[in-house]
Amino acid sequence: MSNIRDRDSSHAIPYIKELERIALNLLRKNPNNKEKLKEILEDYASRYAREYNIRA
Amino acid sequence: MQADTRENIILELENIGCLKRLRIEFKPGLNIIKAPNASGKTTLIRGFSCMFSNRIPPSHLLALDELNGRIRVHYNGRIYEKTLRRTPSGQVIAHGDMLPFADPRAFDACVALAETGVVHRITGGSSVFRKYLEELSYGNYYSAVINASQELINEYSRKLAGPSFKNFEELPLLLTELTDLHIRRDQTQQEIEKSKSGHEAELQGIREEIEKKSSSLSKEEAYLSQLTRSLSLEKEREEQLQELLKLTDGSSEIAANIRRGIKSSRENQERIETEIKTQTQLVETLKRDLKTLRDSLKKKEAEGPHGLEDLERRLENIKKMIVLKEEEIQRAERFPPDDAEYPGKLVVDVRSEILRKIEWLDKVTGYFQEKYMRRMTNARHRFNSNVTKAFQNLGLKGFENVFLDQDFMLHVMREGSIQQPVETLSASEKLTISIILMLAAKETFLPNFPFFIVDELTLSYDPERFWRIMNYIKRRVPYVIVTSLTSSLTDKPEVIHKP
Repeated sequence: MSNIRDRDSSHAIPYIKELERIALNLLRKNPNNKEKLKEILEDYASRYAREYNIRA
Repeated sequence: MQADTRENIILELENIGCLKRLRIEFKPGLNIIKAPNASGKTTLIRGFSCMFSNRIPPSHLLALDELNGRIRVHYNGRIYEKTLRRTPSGQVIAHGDMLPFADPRAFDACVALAETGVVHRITGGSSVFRKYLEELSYGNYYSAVINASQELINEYSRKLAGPSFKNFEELPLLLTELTDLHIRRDQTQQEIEKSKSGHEAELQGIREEIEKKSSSLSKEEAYLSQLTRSLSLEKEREEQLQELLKLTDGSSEIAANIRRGIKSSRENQERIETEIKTQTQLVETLKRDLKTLRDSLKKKEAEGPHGLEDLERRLENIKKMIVLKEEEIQRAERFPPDDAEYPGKLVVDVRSEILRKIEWLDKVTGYFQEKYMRRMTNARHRFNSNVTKAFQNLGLKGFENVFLDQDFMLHVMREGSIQQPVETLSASEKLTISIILMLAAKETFLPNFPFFIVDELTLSYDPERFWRIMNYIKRRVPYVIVTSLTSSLTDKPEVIHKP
């Protein structure tokens, strides 16, 4: 338990905190809005792919 | 006690289920709603629950023969009202307030209706309890993100396994095949050149031979002419000698010399004739040879180099295959201009973009899985702790503890640490455990929610144990509402209050 609590991988994942806030807000309003959730994830994934390519 | 400091709550229902009009008052403590069968006890609970949860659909609330209905709650000096309206299409729309402590999870954690599957929850296996705690701890939000992320990863992976990307994966092989074709083309071209030059050399050889033979023939023909001339001269000489012999005395020395001269001339003629014969044969042989060589030259010139047609056909085929292979490579490298998703884009770029997306989604999945696990482990520990506390405080005979293991499997421990399978419990024991687990869920996840409602679960219940549990709940929750079947003649639910 303590090992799990101490671990925080968020720093290694771009936009994760922003995504978490937006996704949880969306689900709080409508827990079944799967399509919108996928749309949000897709947008962030595309952004990551774009920015990663620029860096590369 | 906290419950005593709170004010009464008034619930008014109008055209809800079988209840035309009802006004009922709940006081802090235990409120027992007594009514006969089918007189609206469950309807009342459902109507009230829609003021703090949206779990019951409005169409299940409004009386079937009515167009409008109303639920009103007087709470904490304010009136909260919800209206129900049936549209011309038959749809029922709810509109209005929710109580300030409304929470979508309250129905599952604080309302024990038979229809909420309260007993099924303990007999339904680990997946049912996992889902229950997921929803109460909001772990379902994390699992929703995990599932959505996984679905996207699967969609992208399916895309990468599609024909366009499959061809792209074959690109190295296609390029190798193209290189092989180029090598074969060059080799065939070399073979053609070699064949042509070989043929030309052969023709040149024949031409040189013809030239040589022609030259020899000319020489031999000239020599033959010379021999023929010599023979004529020799014959003329013999004729002259014969004429001269006629003029001389046959017995003279001169005649003898002339005769020797004639003899010599004849011998010469014979020699020359023999030589002419041989020379003629030689000339004929040379002419035949020359003809043979010229015929051969003509034939070889007409035939051309040996196997050239096959080689040129082969070269043509290889060139066609190169064109096809280059087209195939182009298709593998780039999406067609009319592609719906990636028109004209390089496959390598799109593939790389998709792989980057999967990489990010994988990280996101891992992050949310970690959070989910942390949340669910924490929820289970807190829940187990509250269950243990309830069993200890209630001191129910026969039970030592009930808990969820790490796989969310429910374990019922009898006294002496003997585990009993849930399915083998009596109906009354299953109800007891169900209500205690529900109370633990409420205390874990909705500690400030002021109600705990139990509807008609007393049918197969040990009354002594039931009221013991209700009294325990009453000490922990401000308002406890319990419905109970009665054989009284009254047609409306009545509330008996036990502070």
